[in-house]
Amino acid sequence: MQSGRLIVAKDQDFAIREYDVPAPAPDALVIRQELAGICGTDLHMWQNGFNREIVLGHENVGVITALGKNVTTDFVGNPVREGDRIIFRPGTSGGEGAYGFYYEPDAPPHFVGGFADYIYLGKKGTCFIKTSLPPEVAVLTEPFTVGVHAVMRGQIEFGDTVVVQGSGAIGLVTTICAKVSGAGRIIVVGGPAARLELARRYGADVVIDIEEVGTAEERTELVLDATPGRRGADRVFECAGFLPATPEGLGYLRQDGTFIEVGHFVDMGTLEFNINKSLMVRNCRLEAIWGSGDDHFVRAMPILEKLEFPYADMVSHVLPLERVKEGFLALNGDYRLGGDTVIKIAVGSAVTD
Amino acid sequence: MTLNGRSVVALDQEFTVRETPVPEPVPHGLVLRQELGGICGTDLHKWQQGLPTPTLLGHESVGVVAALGRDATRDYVGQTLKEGDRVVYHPRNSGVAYGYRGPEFPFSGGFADYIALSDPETCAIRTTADARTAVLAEPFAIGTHAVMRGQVQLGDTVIIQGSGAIGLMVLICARLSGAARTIVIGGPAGRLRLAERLGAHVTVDIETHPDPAARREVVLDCVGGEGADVVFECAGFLPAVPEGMEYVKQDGTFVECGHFVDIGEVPINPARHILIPNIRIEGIWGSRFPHFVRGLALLEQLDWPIADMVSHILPLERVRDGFEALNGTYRLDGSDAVKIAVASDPTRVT
Repeated sequence: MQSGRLIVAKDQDFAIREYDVPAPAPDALVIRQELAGICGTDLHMWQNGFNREIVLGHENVGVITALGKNVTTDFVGNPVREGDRIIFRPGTSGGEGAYGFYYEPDAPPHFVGGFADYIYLGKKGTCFIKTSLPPEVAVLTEPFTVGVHAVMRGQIEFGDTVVVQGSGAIGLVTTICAKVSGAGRIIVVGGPAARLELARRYGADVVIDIEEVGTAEERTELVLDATPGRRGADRVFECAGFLPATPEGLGYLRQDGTFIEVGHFVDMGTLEFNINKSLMVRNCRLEAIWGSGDDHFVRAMPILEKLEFPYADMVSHVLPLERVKEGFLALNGDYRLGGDTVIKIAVGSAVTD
Repeated sequence: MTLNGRSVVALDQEFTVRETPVPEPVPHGLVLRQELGGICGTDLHKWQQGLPTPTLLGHESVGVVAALGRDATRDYVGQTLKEGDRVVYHPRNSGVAYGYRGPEFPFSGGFADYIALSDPETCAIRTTADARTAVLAEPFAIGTHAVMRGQVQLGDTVIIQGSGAIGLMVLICARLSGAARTIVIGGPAGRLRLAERLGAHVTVDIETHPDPAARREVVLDCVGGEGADVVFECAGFLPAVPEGMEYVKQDGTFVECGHFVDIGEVPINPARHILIPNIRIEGIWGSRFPHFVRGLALLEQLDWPIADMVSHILPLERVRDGFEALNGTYRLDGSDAVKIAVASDPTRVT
């Protein structure tokens, strides 16, 4: 029987364990991990410290090494066989929880998160899709689907003026999704500079660096200056996950505009909210986005596979499994790793065919 | 035509009844003989804060045409107009809304014997409704706006926080939109009895369930523990906002139509209150002409006891009694107040 390595997180530490890779049950499959992204949610959980052992990694791509006898097609009906590259949704529809949030590493099938050499896909209602994408693009599928969900709920209309707050992975994929949805002008408020440079390549027409423009009042003036008639933006996406960004972003909106909250996936506390000023007086809508669903994965794939944007440039760093902690430390600190600005850090298994 | 008429002028917390000449209608305008003018929660909030300049209040009004300008041949939806027709109108126009203007626009408010509609962008509509129903056209338009934005669908479970006029209007509009179960949280008891007559399946009295945590159990129990498809906050009470968000089920909608006046801030936890349940929030600012047009067409054909919402009709000189009742115990002349209206001539109201 084959064995593989698995990263187990506890408190703020990471350990490498070796387990046997189970043969797939009739409805399961096993993939060799190629890349797994570190997400802001992983970071926030790590900052709080894990009070029990956990297997992380929910933004994954890999190649099928073994198929259960009942598994013949992917979620959309494409035939699959060993050697095919697939991506999968971490959440599942069968009531058996999510990949990358698994608390019992010692219990088989062990490999239920992406920070590992192998991943065992055995949960009921797993949505996996075969892809022709290179791994450094495919690893971005899961965050991309959050952008898909956000722009669908935001109902962007042709020619809209759109503001994206935050230039991390979610802000960048939302920028792309807004562009694809027909936004006429996109304003990205974020930093550091290298991320904003990438935002421009993804379709941002105006970028505002929060390191250069230090106050909410000044940023609001610049945003309004960039909207037609200074009336405010049609849509504002909050992808910063920073509490004061929410009231600031609501102030960018025009009458009858829509605010899309995509930032606060982890409980960061409460906000003193003035619902009269923030929403009612301007007759606004607010959409709160929780992750993504199967349909968002199905919709994302044909858009990603056109490769119309330099997606892979979002993956700033690829680390071997044993260096995963360096990735967390960089995201927790100054967003620098090995002399470069961090955007998306992925870890890769060393296993090859 | 040389008519004199009375109008109520509000300043600080005082009301003065003045008699002045009624202007001739402008060419495209109308002069109405007032039948009823409703007192709204927004009037109350402005009065509580004290009106800084003289204001002709009253923006929920109905009257009959007393005089037409020479170009005023048709109403907003194209119906012909003549003297004696009953007309309702939307407060919005090209400038300061009717019911918020000063005495430099004589008879621009609804608490008066006559109402002069002079703005070029006026939405006035002839109606077949009786006066007590027609006076509700403006708050009904807010209910119409709220359920359209809330996208209430056939079979939905709906929770309404607040049993004042807006809450009851939303209740009616939600039922018309196909809500299968409606739960109204509010008080006092007289308002909740009316909510039940208007079709509320369950009412929860905040006076008998004053503790929010215990109330939450009672309310969620009514909806099978899962929450409602759409929750309407019509109470205008800050702690009702997070409480109401917790009544929304996964992927549901929270509609805010209570805080028409800025009364401050309330703590909201973005992750817990809105992101994890993946909800939509709609902020409803009054209504616009299309809501008024749609709502009026519905009001005219309903045979529900909507007119019973007008609990009190006061003569102009008693307008203050109405404000004080709404500011206090919601009791007036021995009964619970829901919608209080003032009438130029209470004996003529049908």
